Amino acid sequence: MYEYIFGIIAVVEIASATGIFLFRDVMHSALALAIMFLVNSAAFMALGEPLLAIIQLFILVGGVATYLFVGVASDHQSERRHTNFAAFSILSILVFAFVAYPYIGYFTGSPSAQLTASSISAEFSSGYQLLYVLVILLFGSALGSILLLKSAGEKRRV
Amino acid sequence: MIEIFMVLGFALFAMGISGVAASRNFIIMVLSIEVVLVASSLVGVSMFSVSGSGNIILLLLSIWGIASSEIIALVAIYRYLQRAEESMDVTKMSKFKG
Repeated sequence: MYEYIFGIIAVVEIASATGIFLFRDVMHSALALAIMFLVNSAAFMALGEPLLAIIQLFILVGGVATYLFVGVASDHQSERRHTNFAAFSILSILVFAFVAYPYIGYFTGSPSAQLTASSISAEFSSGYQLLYVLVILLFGSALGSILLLKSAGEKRRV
Repeated sequence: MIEIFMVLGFALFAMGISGVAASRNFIIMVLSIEVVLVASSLVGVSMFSVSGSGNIILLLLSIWGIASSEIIALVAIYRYLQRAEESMDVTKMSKFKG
């Protein structure tokens, strides 16, 4: 039973991620991204993390996707073609092979890969101050860009 | 069966990276980076559920913060480009030259 649910989640998430690059209208691409966020939170739920799934739903679907719809995607831009599909397909396969290759041992259950999983968790818990600083700097740069654009617009108006 | 989510995370990561490289629209490039961030959160939660140690919420908080900041910056730059009547095609952008 669980295998079917996991499989459905994986197929829908891959399909919605592909839809971002297939749709010509940015509105439809943003909708596909919102569906991907939704299915990703369902994947968190399936992994046994309901709190993270709900927080992800609130932040990414309720906040980020809505802001994206209101700010950008509601203009209905439909450019002719924004993605080179042949390059996208070939690059996807190459990058997937490159990224997944070191974890083949993990999928087959070798002990070296289990060491990787625990060591990555340890890395996250030890270096979290750096992540906090990074997030604060990014928020600062985002707010600063808004203020700069606002002042540029006021100068232009004068 | 948790491995399927790790494979899914790797596939999404590959699609996001390829989307940044193969796309010309500025908005789609930013959406591709969102896909990369979602993929990394999925792989992180999968690894956390396998290992059971560490604190995954810190990673997820930083990923959500980066994703939110990115969309804020996207909307600001989009409004600027729209006001300047610039194309969203990154090969034709001229307003960002120093």
